[in-house]
Amino acid sequence: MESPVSAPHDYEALAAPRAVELQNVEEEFVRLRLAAPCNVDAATTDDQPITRACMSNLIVYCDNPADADALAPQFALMARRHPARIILLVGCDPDQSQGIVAQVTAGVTQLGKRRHISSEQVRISASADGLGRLGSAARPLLIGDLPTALWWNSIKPPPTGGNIFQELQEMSSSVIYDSRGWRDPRTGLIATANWVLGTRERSLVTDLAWMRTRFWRRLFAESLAPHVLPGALNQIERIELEHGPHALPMVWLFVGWLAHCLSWQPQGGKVGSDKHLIMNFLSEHGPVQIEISRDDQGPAELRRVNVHSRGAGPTAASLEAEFEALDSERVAIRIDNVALGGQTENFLSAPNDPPILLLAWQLANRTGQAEFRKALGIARAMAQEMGT
Amino acid sequence: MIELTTENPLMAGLSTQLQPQPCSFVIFGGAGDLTRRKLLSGLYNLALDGVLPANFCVIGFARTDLDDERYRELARESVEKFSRRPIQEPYWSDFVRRLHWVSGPFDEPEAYAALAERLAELEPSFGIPNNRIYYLSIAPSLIEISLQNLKTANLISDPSDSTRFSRVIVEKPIGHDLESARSINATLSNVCDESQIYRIDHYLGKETVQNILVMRFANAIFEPLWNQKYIDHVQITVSEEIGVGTRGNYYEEAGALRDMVQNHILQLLCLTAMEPPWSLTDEVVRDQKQEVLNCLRPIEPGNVDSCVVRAQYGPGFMHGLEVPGYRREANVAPDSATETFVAIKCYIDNWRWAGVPFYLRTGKCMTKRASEIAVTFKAVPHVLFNVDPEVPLEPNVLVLRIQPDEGLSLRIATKLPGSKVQIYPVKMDFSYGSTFGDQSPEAYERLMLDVMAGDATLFMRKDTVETSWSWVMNILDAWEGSGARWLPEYRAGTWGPIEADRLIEGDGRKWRAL
Repeated sequence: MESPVSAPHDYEALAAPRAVELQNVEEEFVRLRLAAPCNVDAATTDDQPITRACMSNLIVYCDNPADADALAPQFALMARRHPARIILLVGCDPDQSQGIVAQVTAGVTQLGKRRHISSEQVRISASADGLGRLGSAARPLLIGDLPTALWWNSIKPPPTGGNIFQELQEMSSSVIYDSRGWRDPRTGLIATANWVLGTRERSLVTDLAWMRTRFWRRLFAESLAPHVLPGALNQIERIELEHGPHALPMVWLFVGWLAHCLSWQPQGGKVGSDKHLIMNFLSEHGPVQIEISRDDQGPAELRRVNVHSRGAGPTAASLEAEFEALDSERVAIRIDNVALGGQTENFLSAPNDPPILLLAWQLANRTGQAEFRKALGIARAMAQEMGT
Repeated sequence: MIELTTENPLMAGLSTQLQPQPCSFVIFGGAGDLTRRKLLSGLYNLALDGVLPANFCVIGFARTDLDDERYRELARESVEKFSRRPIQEPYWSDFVRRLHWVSGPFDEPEAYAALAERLAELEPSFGIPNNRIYYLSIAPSLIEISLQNLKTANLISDPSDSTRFSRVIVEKPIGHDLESARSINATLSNVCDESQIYRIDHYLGKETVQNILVMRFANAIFEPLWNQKYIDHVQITVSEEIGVGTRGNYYEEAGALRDMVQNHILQLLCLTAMEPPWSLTDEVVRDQKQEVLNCLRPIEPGNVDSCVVRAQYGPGFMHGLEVPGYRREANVAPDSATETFVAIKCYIDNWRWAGVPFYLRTGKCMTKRASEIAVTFKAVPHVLFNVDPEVPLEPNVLVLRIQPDEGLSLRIATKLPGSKVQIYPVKMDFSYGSTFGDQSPEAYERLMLDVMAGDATLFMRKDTVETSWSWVMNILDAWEGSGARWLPEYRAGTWGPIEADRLIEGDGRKWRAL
């Protein structure tokens, strides 16, 4: 359901990546800026200087060159939404025998009649020996007075990232990670929750999996709102969730959010099989059962949420609601309730941005994530129950 | 026993976003020009962004003989032509199934019975709890009868009913003068509570206009200087390249003062001059804007000639092409005395702005299309670098550009490189487009979403409309009293008449060349 990533047509690399000494990176950026062709005003035929746009420093850490290679072309997509200086750090490059090397490039985006430099990228690769020096390589390249974000694009959960994570985190004002793809989501989520909930209340830490739930949360909140279907939320007795591979943390976060908002208390659970979990909660109005099942095929997303409510609407009739992710960034909502005159079906846009665009969105979002922290706290409790 | 509550516990985590509520969006004039150009494409773009309420439908309502299918075809043509983003399947099919049509004349109660019937049929199927927004995209003369009919058909809910809402959006112009504005407001008040009325001025939905408050009150460096101690004067310019085009009929009745100053320019003035609101809730922000209008010194009849300049564009050239004078335009009287340009010097009589002139100008067929607020700071003392009275330093100027190329610039003095101390003005520039990239939503999109969320901050209140008209009426009455049959002319493609230059140059200042 995630959009394919392709470079936007209005982006152009100023030059192919060029290897330079670390101490010459800034010089290379200046050289690229000066070499960039001017904007020509068609009306006056005047040359106008090309401008440089930069909203943030973004440090990206990848475990290996293959991940970095896959990521690098996507920065063009981000540049349009969030122009930034990107410092791409690649740990443990087996081809790298000389400690650390840097490669520099930049790109321009066309906006209306003007073009501007929207992306300055430096890729710094380290051999296994050079890993400990990546932080010191990144630090002098940060542009002062701009927010710095760390995108921990690693299969290791952040708190297990060791010294390199600690060092990069300390120079960043926000940390973004993605729990999708963790090898052991349960242990990873518990460790990460312990770390996140141990940071200051207003620290900016986000899981892209949490951002992927944003449309689900909104559609859920609106469709079952008390002024639309009185009683539907507090009479929920069972929810079934279906997800694709690697999306269990996303589901836990979604359920955690729901449990927090509706004041449900975790009451334990059981592992039915490696694809089936049951969690029990207690609401003010009675027990609530959550069934989570995994389909190993298809996208790594939340796919379907079925809600069974004991009563809703003025007639207190039972309610069945189904939220289903369709193939192309849409969600179908089917609700069966007497108050709505039987079954209704609704289709809505739920843009499912690729990680790079979620990242761009999050870079601009500088408010605290109180709801995420609360959802994560309950998700941790669920993950802990699964281990007992 | 099911507890009936309207509080939504799931909304807590979504509090950083606007929260549009489920609603039926009824467009009066559902096939009209504004609807086709802005409203349908705006709603489609909101759907594409996934920000429309989940429970939502649109009903186009007008005399035009259409049905749902034909209305959907009309909508598709409109969106294909005017949307900032192309139609994408299958989003379009999801969106279009929410569009419906009810035919009927606005002055016949039976049409409203049909509208009520259609709403009753559609709302349960879309899960909409009788929340209605009526967008009156119709001629001002039809507003009263339409509202009366809505009320008679019981389609306007009680404002104190927290389980449902009715909101009415009214387009400008709100009246032709103070009396007609009061009459429209009285009509609105007879049917709706002020909290249910949204007087739309699309100018206020522009990102840069909204940024004025952020720039002033989220940055520590500006507010301490934002007063008569440090500011020499303020210039607000809204210039248009185009002439009246096909709008001669309308413009003959309006003129630049009614068309631009009474609404857009006075709103920009309010945002520039207002005191810090103590919260960002709609009433508090609107109270502060109203305070500015309350302090705006009336231009007495005897001062109109010295404080206000009006003019008409004559023949000239725009981008090398010949442009006819205003009186030669279609649907314009050959002896028309309608102004296409107006420049005003005014003062705000409060502690902050005492003695600081605000120069306002707007016109058609001017050199370029530009809207900006330019705040000129006082000169540094005439010692040290500013000692030579023959070559005074250029003062600092902070410019808030509203369109095009939205952004902000600050002119500062710097030393030219070299052994000698030579001062040269340079411009620090921030441009929305080149900093944030991407396309901003259109003003109408933002404003429609605000109405769905019940946020009236960017809409004009009754007292604001009437105070604005009251201030403008002094000028209009004086003009009418003068019986002038000839206005100064300015060449099309220039910055206005020489009389406007004299207005400001008499104070030792100059209009900015944008």
